[in-house]
Amino acid sequence: MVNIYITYILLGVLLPLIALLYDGIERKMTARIQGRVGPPITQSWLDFIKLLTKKVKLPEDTNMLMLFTGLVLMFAGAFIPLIMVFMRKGDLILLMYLMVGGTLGILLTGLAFRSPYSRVGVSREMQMAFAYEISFIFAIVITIMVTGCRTLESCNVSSIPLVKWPLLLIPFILFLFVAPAKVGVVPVDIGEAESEIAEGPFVEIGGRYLAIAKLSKSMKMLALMQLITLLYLLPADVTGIWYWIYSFVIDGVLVFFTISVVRNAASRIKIDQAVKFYATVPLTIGIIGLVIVYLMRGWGM
Amino acid sequence: MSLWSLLFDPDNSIWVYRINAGSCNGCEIETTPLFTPRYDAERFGIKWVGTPRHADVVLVTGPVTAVAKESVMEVLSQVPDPHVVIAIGSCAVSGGVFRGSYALEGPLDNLYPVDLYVLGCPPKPEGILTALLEAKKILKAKRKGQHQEKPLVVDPAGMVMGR
Repeated sequence: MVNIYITYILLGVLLPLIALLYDGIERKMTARIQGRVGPPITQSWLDFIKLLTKKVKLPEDTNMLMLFTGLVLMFAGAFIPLIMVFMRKGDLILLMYLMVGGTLGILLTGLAFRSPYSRVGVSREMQMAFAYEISFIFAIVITIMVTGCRTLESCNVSSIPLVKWPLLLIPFILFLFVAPAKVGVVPVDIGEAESEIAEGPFVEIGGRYLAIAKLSKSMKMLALMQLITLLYLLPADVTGIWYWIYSFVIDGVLVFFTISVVRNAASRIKIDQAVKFYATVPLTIGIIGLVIVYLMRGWGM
Repeated sequence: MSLWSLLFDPDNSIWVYRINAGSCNGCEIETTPLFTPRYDAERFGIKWVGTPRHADVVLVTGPVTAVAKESVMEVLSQVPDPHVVIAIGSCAVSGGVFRGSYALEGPLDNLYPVDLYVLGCPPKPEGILTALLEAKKILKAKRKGQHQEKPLVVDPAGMVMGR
């Protein structure tokens, strides 16, 4: 019993650091794709420490209550899913709500300031959330319907017969579509566009508040990658220490293909283009997938 | 780099904000190549940011014109401590060819303390990169509460003078 608490505390300290390392690895991979040397892989970790040492300077008319609520929601919406997916404990529906709550945290953080950049960022973030969260929810619902279970420990590709595996391709593809928007990388990071509206909702925060925001973003990325690994790419016989090694390797591969390659292959699209894309392609796949899975259940599969 | 500085040294992360205080855009053109594969300033942890509230280092280009003065002072007042202000190019350092004009409120050091000067019209990217790496040391000193007495000067090709 004591062991499990020690494990949780250890993971609570180590996993955020590993998430920052993954962010650094992603930056290094981007740099290598562009033919640059790139920062050391600990760069995001150094940025985090740097932000903690800075003094905080906020606008005078900041709504502090809203800022703190937003930051807490944002942190919780990334930290708790991260622990849940790595420990394989908890409920998929709860995980879905928590990850949507993280997006809500970003919106609240942006609404705490009166800066027009922040407001524009919040508005775009909200439109994006409406566009992609529905596909995310579809992906999770289809997974639950195919596997027939809701907990993270049993809900897995290896827990169902071989004939059903192709059905899981639908949520897997949906996840690949949603991942860049959920993490917020270049083709669809319209709400936080760094060069355009100066990081949108985070434009006025600095110091340790920004450190929390950056940490949450990294943790959200790792949690999402591990969720994809856990649901669709984990064989049954991988346990113990091999589970951790396998997870971290596959997470790295997923980060490369869903984040780095996408980010270097495309430039930022406009909000109407992004919303139109998410409201057509992934949503259609989701609805068709849901209908197929529902009919299959009717036939007793 | 040592393991300590790779893991725990906050000075290896520098976020840079740029202000154009009436520049002719020549100095901006020379700062942009810093992030191309040839110079790759990101390997030192240097990153552009879009807002002064995230910045550690502020690059100011151009003589501060009467129109730009108010905005420049407001932006500089939003940069959290510790921070370093670098004047890039002849205009920001001395006013350049515009010195004595009725339309100038600057150069910058009349209005705000400057930590580093980069000479040249325009300075080369090497000079600007050297200044950013020197800013790292100044930031380290400022975190410890020390302040240097006289500002450093970097020549266009990246030599540090006045030490």
